[in-house]
Amino acid sequence: MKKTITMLMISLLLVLSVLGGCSSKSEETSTDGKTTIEVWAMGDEGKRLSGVVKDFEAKNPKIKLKVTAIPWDSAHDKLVTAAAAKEGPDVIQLGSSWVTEFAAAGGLLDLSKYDKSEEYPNINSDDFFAGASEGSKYEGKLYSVPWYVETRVLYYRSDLLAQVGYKEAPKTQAELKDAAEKLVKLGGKGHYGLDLAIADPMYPQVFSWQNGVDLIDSKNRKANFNDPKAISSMEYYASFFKEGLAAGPDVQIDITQAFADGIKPMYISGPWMINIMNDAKATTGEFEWNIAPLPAGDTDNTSYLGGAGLSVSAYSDNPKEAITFINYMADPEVQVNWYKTANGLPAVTSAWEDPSLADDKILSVFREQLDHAKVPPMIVELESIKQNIIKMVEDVVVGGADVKSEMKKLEQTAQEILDGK
Amino acid sequence: MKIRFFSNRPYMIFILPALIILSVFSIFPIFVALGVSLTNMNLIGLLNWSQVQFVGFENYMDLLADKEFRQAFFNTIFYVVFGVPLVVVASLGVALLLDYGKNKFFTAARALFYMPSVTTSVAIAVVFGYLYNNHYGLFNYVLSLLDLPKVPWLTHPIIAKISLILMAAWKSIGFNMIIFLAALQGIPKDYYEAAEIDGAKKWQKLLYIKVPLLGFATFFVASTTLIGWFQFFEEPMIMTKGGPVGSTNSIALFIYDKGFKLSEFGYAAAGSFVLFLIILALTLIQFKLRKKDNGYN
Repeated sequence: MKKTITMLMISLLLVLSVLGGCSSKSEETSTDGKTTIEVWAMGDEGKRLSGVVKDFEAKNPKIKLKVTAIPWDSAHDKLVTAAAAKEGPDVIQLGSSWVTEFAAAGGLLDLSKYDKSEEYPNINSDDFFAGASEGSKYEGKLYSVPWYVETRVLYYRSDLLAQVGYKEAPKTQAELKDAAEKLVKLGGKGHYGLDLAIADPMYPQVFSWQNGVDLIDSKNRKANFNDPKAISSMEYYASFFKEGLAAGPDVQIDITQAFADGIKPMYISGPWMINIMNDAKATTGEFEWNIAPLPAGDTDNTSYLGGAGLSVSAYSDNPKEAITFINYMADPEVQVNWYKTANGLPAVTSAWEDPSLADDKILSVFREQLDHAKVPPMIVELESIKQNIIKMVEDVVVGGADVKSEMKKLEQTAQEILDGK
Repeated sequence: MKIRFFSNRPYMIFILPALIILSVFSIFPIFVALGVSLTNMNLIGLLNWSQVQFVGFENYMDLLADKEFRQAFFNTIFYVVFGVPLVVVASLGVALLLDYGKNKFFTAARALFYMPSVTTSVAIAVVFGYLYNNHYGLFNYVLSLLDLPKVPWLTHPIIAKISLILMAAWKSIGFNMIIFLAALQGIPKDYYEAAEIDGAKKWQKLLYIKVPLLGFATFFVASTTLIGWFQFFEEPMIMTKGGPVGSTNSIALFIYDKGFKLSEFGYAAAGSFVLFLIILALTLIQFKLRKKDNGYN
């Protein structure tokens, strides 16, 4: 009898020790009177952010920073689990679409009362690029403070474009297409004019913005895919594929290689390609490249604005210290330093006056484009509408479906999603 | 009372830890998934439980009407119908061939065939992504040397499915081969000796001794492979993201996309429960069929 009881105890202990390993981590207690705040930053930024820690801690001796770098792939899952457990970091790096998602779910602290406050002078939504400010708000409330921005511009082979008569980059959508046609003629079989990725819903939106239509009107919660301007923008986009000016998804050539070889002499991308292009030129040699603001449509040359901001978790035990850190990161000087350490473009406009940014020819193009850049609509339903846009584009480009009828169908689907069915 | 329960059944003490872990991590979640599938649980609901509403079977009705789910379902059937026999036949074939010898060459070959099984699917999928690349890929390069046209390995709706099947089969042959090998070595020598005395040829021994006596191993391999293929996930997730035009999407990938990309947990839970029921039903059918044939034993 005794033996069985002992055995039972041992097996129970074994089970408990296994389960114990899964239990949540213990609360971090402050040692030596310092408050520890935990910061979650994604990908490369997360790794480089640790360089900022020393300077911040020297200026704020009472706060200790604990930076955790999270790979982008698993970031969303981690944020959801942390939010579900109502614990996790104090400060989180978030892009605009995730700000919407987590703000709507009540996972983020409303920072509106700190906007333009005396205590935190750097948190001022007027100091940031308009697009970045818009991307930090959900239903009029501030949930995030812009950290760094990026926007998409036109990368082009200046040598090849000069050969077809373009001494400068195309300035309008019509010129862009004309240049693409001429480049294909110049290159011959297996060459393309402009690189467009069908899996990226950014392009239909950008071309529509440029023609003065918002595919999703977030204020009135209305889908505008069936708008004549939206349809003509989509037809313009699809024509690149239909006429062989852009490579379909079956062409799997790395863009850097294709650009250097002149197979894809134009593409639209963000600031991270600058270094890659410089490296490509240094290794493969013989080509000239440049960047220019996007060609304009009927209205203007709006581009897509991305980047990230810093938010405070609704479950943070130390919101004051968390906001102190965010205020520090929005300081123009810190923003310039961040550009120097991680190449993240400052979200604060005044930081661009620093000579290291103002005197850079390539960066000035981004500076110009940032004034004409928008964030995607700040609505919770964006992600599922995006999936539908991708499907529609695939149906049109790969499946050869008719643009008009597809856009009509998409408007219905999107409107149903917006109305909650 | 409790103590008597254990003293009468001492084996309970040994299976108790496994039983508890299984209940907590496998059986309990199934009921949670069933519960969640009857609600409109999403990210908002997760953070604020008062927002969660009971919606009955609405998620299941939506699933049936969802074109994307139907496509994922038929793709999964395609994977199962072609993948399972391919894996069973190929791993049985490899095992039979490797069973003919015991020298160093056979040991090396055995290790070689087993290698893919110990590599993570993600690494394999990334490497195969390069091999299948239309422009730089090794496969198309070899074809170009033979003056054959390029094959759109991952960009043609049907070829993409086949490419994924070939890769996944290549990966899973090793593990199943080991099971067949073990079973082959467990066949008593007496049968062969008796057959030889009767003048049986090699192929007769194969057909009338080896294959029938591998019945149980075949059953095991077939049922685990079937379950594995119904849960086909990593390969399409990494290599095609379900494309082109949804033609490589699988039920598991559909569930993942709905649950973790769009945070529609209720809908995803309904999808996973449907998958659970399909697998449960098919496994039960397999067991039923198995009972009918008893082999030589």
